[in-house]
Amino acid sequence: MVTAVAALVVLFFALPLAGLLRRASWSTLWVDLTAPEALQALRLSLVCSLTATTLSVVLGLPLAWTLARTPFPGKALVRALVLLPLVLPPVVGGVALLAAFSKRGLVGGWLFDVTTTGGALSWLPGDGVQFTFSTAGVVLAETFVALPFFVVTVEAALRSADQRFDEVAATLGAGRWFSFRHVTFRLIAPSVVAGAVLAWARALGEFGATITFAGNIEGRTETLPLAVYLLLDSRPDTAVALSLVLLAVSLSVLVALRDRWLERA
Amino acid sequence: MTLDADVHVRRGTFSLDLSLAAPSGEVVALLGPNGSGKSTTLRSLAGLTPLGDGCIRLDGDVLDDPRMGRFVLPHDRSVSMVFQDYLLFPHLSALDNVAFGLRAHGIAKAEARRDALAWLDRFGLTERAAAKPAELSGGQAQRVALARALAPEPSLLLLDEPLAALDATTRALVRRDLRRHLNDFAGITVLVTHDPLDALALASRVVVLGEGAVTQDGPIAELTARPRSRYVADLVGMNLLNGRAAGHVVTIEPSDELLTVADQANGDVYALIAPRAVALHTEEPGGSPRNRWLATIAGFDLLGDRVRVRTDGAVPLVAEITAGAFTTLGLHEGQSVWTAVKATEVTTYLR
Repeated sequence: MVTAVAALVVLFFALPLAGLLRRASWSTLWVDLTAPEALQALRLSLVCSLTATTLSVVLGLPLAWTLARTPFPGKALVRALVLLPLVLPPVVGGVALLAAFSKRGLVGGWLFDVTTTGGALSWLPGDGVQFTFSTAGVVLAETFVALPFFVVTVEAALRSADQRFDEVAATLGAGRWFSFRHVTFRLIAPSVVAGAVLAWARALGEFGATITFAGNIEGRTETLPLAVYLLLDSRPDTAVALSLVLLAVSLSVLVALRDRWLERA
Repeated sequence: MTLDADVHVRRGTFSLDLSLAAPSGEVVALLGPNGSGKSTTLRSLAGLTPLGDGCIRLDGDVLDDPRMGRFVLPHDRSVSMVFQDYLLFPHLSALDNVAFGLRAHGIAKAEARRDALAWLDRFGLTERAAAKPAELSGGQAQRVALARALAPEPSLLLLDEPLAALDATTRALVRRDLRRHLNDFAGITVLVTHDPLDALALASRVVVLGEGAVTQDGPIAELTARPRSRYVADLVGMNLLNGRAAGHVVTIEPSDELLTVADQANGDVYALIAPRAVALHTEEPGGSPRNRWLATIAGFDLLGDRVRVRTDGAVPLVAEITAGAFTTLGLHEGQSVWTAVKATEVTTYLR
């Protein structure tokens, strides 16, 4: 009985996959993928997701370190806040980002003013920073949903890394920075890579927050998932072809991280 | 080069108060039971646990003095430490582990590696240079850890239970090697152990710690000849009694039994009796020994062809008799016996 249910559940997962593969128009796959809209979405997705991943790593490392190693009051609350995007419906995340970073949002208007000619930060490249309907908005939305994946993974690694290695390093004359680079970072490196891969996969697949916050503008905010959704009516073959690309990426991530998950049992 | 430390650390209900001074080249063993503050002392010297009060001076430099508001961070001290479980960096080869301290001191990679290789060679580990710590045997790991600690040429070397993680056979070998390397080391060594054999084999001087305070400090020979705590007496296998001496008679605490001794003494004394000087009788003995007490046999330990008999009573003593005598007397646990000690077999010294 249990086995039968299990088999049904496996079927439940396998069927959509089979459907997608059957639905694909294999003979026109290359043409579909190299169509201008498709290429544009591919390029934009790659740029945005890699930028979001870089931001997640650069910003996530200090955050993970602080959460893992520095005691401060209200830490549980801060951790909950950082992890919230993991469980928050992406569309709600998009609405929240609008409320904060749109021109009429909490800080968006101020940010626009200080970066416009005459503002305190007007020396920055570009005139009047705004996230809505811009590629920067896509990166922001993707970072918002991807960063927690990186932080959770790396914080766990930092907590389980034996801190006495830092003590040994110190007695051997290593300052904090040397010790971090040559010991701690090396010990958590596999988790940093895994966290980055997870964050990238999440950023690449981001849909809800992106379309809500950054909108859907071809060539500027229309990433792969958005393109798939919008082309499904007009050019279903291209939509399916792009879906296959995302599927291939997901499978690659799974294979890359197999040591962490699949072979643990 | 000298070490001059006055260590006071308080943690919860535990407090550690210890003074330690050593000239260069000396190997000091900190000996004591678990929880006596040995490891805390090492951590204070390394700078991993700051002092609550006191002062640590090495080569005239103040490393830690809370009253002066001075605290030198661990990495700025010329102090290396070998941890009990070695803690070799798992991602680095044996060679790079040894080179680590040199690299941390700003020496270029190629030169650090050349130096590290020379160290490995000195420890007979040239062939294991590329091995990761997981591939090393316990004895090899211990030697790599020691080489890693010595490579930056510290003034003070700290060893936390350096042989505890090894099995008995390896232990004997590594102990002999370790002794050779410590003899070659120009700086000061402080090693922590709970094994008197390690202290005996490696150190020239022993500081005995008990519950956060020094109970004895001196050369090994004095430690075994004149133990000043039950802990040390047990370690060296002697009977130690506390008493008050008046002439040839010592009143033993807390039983107030009298012990006649050959040497005159006055005041609070220790009375030391070797187990083989304690005779056992199944009936009250007559003749010369005036020191005799009724006791109950609490247990035995076999020691080669001899048997150590532990007795309970007003004056609890351990007697060492031959296996033959043990059989002839037909001794068993719980049996009542007489213990007897000749006055000439008792050594007394002031507390």
